[in-house]
Amino acid sequence: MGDPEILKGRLRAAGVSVPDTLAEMVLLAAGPLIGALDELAALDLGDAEPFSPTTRLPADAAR
Amino acid sequence: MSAALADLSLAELRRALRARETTARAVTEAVLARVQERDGHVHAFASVTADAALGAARDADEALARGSGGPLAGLPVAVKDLMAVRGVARTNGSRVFQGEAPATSEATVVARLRAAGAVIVGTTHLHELAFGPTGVNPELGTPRNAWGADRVPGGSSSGSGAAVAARLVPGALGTDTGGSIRIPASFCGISGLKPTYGRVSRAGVTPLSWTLDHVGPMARSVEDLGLLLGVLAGHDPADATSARLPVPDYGALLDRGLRGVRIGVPRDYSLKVADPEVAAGFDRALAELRSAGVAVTDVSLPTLTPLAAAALGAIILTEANAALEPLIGTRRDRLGLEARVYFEFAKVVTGGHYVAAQRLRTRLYTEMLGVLERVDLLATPGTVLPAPRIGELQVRLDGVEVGTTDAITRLTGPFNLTGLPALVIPCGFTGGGLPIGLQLVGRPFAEADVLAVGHAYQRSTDWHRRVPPG
Repeated sequence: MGDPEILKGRLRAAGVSVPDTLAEMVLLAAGPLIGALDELAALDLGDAEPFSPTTRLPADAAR
Repeated sequence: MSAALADLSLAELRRALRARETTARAVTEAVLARVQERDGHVHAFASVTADAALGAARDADEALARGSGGPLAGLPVAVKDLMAVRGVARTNGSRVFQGEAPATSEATVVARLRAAGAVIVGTTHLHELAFGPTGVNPELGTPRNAWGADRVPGGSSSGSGAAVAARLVPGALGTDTGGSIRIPASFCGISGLKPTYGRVSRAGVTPLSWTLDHVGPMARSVEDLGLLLGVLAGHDPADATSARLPVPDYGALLDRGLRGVRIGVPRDYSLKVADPEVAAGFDRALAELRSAGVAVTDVSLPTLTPLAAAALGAIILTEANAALEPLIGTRRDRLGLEARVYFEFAKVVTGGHYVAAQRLRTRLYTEMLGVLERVDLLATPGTVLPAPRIGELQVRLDGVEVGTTDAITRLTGPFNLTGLPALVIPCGFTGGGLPIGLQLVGRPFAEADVLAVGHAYQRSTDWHRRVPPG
């Protein structure tokens, strides 16, 4: 989940408003996602373009 | 007689109606009586449309008498309470929408059910705004999992799953953005199909995430799913994402058997963090398939990592915020706590995260398609764990603490990302009596292949016929 203090700072920087009483629960639920977002953005995805399901799926069904 | 009718599957009712062994009115009365008798306990229904249902039953009986009934003539179905049903005020599972005016038009899927002669008996509860996989809804109530009162029903199509499992209604519609049809199917021991993205119209359905939302059927057997899908599927000009592809006769394609079928198992990901009883149940199901002539091999999907879950989260948070904010408007204070927290989280997701998530989908899809050139279907457990306890925020799997939401969606979410058709059917029970699900995934628009294998499995097993204790 990562360092709780870093995650709390991240939430504050994004303007996220979560009551202190819920902070632990929120970090439990969101910690893995928040921690993984930068890793996701840094991933080398080569020449992959954003997915277009309405184009790709019918085209591949027809192959 | 009335109780027996309420226990029959859609296919069994269809045969009885066509043989004139019963009437649509008798079936509808039996189902309405069952709902009245049990729903105070199950809490699956948000609304019951008894008068309209009896009117539709009368029409179905007249049509059947003329020999002109549609494919679902006289069959009772419930729909998730985020689909427009004329005359019904939908809640979307949230106090935000309580008190809104009844709908004056219908979702395409509801209109198609009616045109096929189905009898809509009411709408079913859901996780608030379909924004969550447990089905726990502190605001409007949590449907009861018939296999364990202290267990979540799974969501977000919790009411549809609970209603079908508890024998309140033989079939229902759900929506699936990260697993919301397949998770309640897995936890409640029923069958649920997320069709290919674009196969079934979403017009008139409250969105959660435009590029991930799917509408599909839930029932007690694969045969019933095929009946419903045959009516639901097909191009709809009212939905820009709807595919212009022909719809096969799913019923005619069900009985193809299992010999020669090739199934690939992404074992490294599927079973890396899994409840041991679920893993054992899944392996038993694979052994049963092997003994029926299926070739089962392990396959590799390198992009199927926890980052796929992060991609799913980034897309849902971003799109849900954009789709729902205008509908919620100034009524944000009426949102439940969980939904409010999710909307806050959306602020953390940047444009860069969102685009990376959409690009990861392309890579994952390309990998899956490559594997599906060597095998016919992929198989995983429906979920890596049986239904967790209500209120459980973390679960322990293989000695590792995992967030419950992450654990629940681990195996369903990847197929929302890729849009491929995915079926969940029951394949066993834990020692504590909780259902275990088997997920089968096919090539784009190959729902017929997925259903045929699921149907063959159900013809040789009886997990889907087990009746819950209460």
